[in-house]
Amino acid sequence: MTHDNTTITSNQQDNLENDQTLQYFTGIRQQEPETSVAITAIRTLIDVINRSSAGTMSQLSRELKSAVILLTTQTDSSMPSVKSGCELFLRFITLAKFDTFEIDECRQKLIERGEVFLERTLSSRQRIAEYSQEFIVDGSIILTHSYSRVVLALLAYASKFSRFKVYVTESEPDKSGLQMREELEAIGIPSICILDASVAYIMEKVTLVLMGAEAVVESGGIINKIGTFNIAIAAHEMNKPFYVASESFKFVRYYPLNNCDLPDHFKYKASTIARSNGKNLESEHPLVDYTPPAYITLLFTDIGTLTPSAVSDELIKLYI
Amino acid sequence: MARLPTDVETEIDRFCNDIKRNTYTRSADLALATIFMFKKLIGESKWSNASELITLIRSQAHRLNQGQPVDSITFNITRRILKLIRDVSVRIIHGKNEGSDISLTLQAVLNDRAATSTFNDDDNENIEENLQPKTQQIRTNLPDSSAINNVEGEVSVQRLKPELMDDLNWYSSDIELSVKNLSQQALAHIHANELILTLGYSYTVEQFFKYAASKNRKFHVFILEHAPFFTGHKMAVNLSALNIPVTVVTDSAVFAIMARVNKILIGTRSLLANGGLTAKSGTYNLALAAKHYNVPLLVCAPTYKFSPTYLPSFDPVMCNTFPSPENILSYESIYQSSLDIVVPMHDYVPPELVTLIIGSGMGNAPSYVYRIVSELYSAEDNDLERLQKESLK
Repeated sequence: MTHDNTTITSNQQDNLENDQTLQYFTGIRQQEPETSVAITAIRTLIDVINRSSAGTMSQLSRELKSAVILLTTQTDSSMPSVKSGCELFLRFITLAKFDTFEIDECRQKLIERGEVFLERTLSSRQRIAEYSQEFIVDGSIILTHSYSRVVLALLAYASKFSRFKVYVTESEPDKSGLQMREELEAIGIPSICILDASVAYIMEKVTLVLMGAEAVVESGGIINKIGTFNIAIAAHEMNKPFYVASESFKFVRYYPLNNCDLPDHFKYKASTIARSNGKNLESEHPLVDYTPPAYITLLFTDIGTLTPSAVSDELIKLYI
Repeated sequence: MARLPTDVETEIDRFCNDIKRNTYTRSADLALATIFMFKKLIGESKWSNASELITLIRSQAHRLNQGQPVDSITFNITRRILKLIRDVSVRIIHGKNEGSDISLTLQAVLNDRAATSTFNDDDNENIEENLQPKTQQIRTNLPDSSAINNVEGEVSVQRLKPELMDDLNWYSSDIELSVKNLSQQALAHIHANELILTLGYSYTVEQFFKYAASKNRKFHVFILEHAPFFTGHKMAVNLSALNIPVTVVTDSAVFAIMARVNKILIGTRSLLANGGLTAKSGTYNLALAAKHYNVPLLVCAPTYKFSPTYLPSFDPVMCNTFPSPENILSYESIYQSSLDIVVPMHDYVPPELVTLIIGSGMGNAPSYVYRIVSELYSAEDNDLERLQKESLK
């Protein structure tokens, strides 16, 4: 009996902690919508370390891993971003070496390192904007898709130096393109919202295509809001450069071969998967697609302007 | 900014004038002259440690590159020398040469100290210095972390200068030998009874053919004459002196003859980080015709032509040169005043159209160029062209 009791209490405690983790995550998502999902996930993990009562490092790392699983299965946020952010953060933790075996000190070190990592990732958007500035010249007509904070920051920075016009796709199913257009107008960049279906129509007018990404995969391709692949194909056909702006914490160690190959938790919301109850998801609309590297001209990242083939190089250097 | 000694100033002025007058016919000569001038600058101006020297060289870079495009050999050499200084500094401090080229990688993003570093003098430049070996990189909270970040500040002139001069001498002899090393690969690319097409005159390509001919390989060369400069004629004369069968073709006939050609071998002015080229005008037509017939396009490019720049859109002002239109219409012509004549010197050729790049070591696919470039130069110096643009404003 006693044994059973302890199991129940530890289960309850787990549940309580899980709730706290999820609450913290959704809290940030609601209060600071401009923070990217990956950064929110990293902050949540730091919070987990903060709250943890773990007595050993391995217990702490187990707690972190279960928090990652929680974030990737229980929230409705963009899965590829959460996954890449968490993976890099865990990698960063495992790279740490300690002079002491005192768990509290170790935890303090981890939190410090985590904060530094966060600080560094927060500055990456500005750096991307600086690197890519020379690619946006006076009179450019830019096509972008959906809502992307990096693209927004990049265009805001570029608008100080050159004049250009932006076409934004409406981007069904959540119409996030409308928000993008509003924010561009607020900065003072002339922008027009177009239908997703008119991408090919508009392409002949466009000088360059500029995209964000939810994740950059090992092949150098990207996973992004559904419709990105269509635009990439149209741009390729009409010989327009297709640029991707993405922070390096979105690099993820994953090598999809085609769009069918993408795992379900990338393509659908966690709630959709739960609702379908393991049944066929074919009738659901996927939320992201995979654009192969052959369609991408260059990637603007905070570690420099990269060709798609350079991405796997960077990932290998990190995980080797 | 520190003032330079008078004879260094004179040397720099002479170098700039020589470039304006097109004194350097071969690109290797220009490369060697640049190194020579840097040796003088490093040897005779005042600086007390490596970071001062780096600042000094960076401040002179756009002056040396006056009137040259951003992907010039002068810039490449400048960047390479800056990289050598950084490498030598690390070698002196740590006793070995490892982990010096990791400043702009994911690894560096994960490195905690990189974010807190205060090394850079420019505020807007966030690319942190990150020169410590990997083993140290993953240790946390070293007491003297600032000192390690600022490796160059610690290396004094007495220790740096002799080692650096050694490296520079080695570098210039490497450049002297580069065309020879490159041409020795000729037999691997030129096969018996092949019909090879080239465009205009290039010293490197000439040496390449010369080596193959000296090994008794029989092949036929078609040469596009490269109007309005007609350097193809010079190429034809030089090659036929070596008893190589030669046919000169007009530029406009490039598509017509392409079906008969086995492969194309050209030189280039520079090789960009994405594997694209800026080469003689007419090369783009050539490359497109080659693509249509699936004829392989091989490019001979010694290492000093590798440039870490990307050409966003082919900007004719930053990346092209417009020589005198005398070749097209004489100055005495009565139409001279009523006509606009534009003679662009260069074409941008995108990497998709290039088959293979023959460097000093071996052949590489264009998609691999970024890798070579990231090994050759330090990422902190990729902003030289931005500095040049700002100086023009």
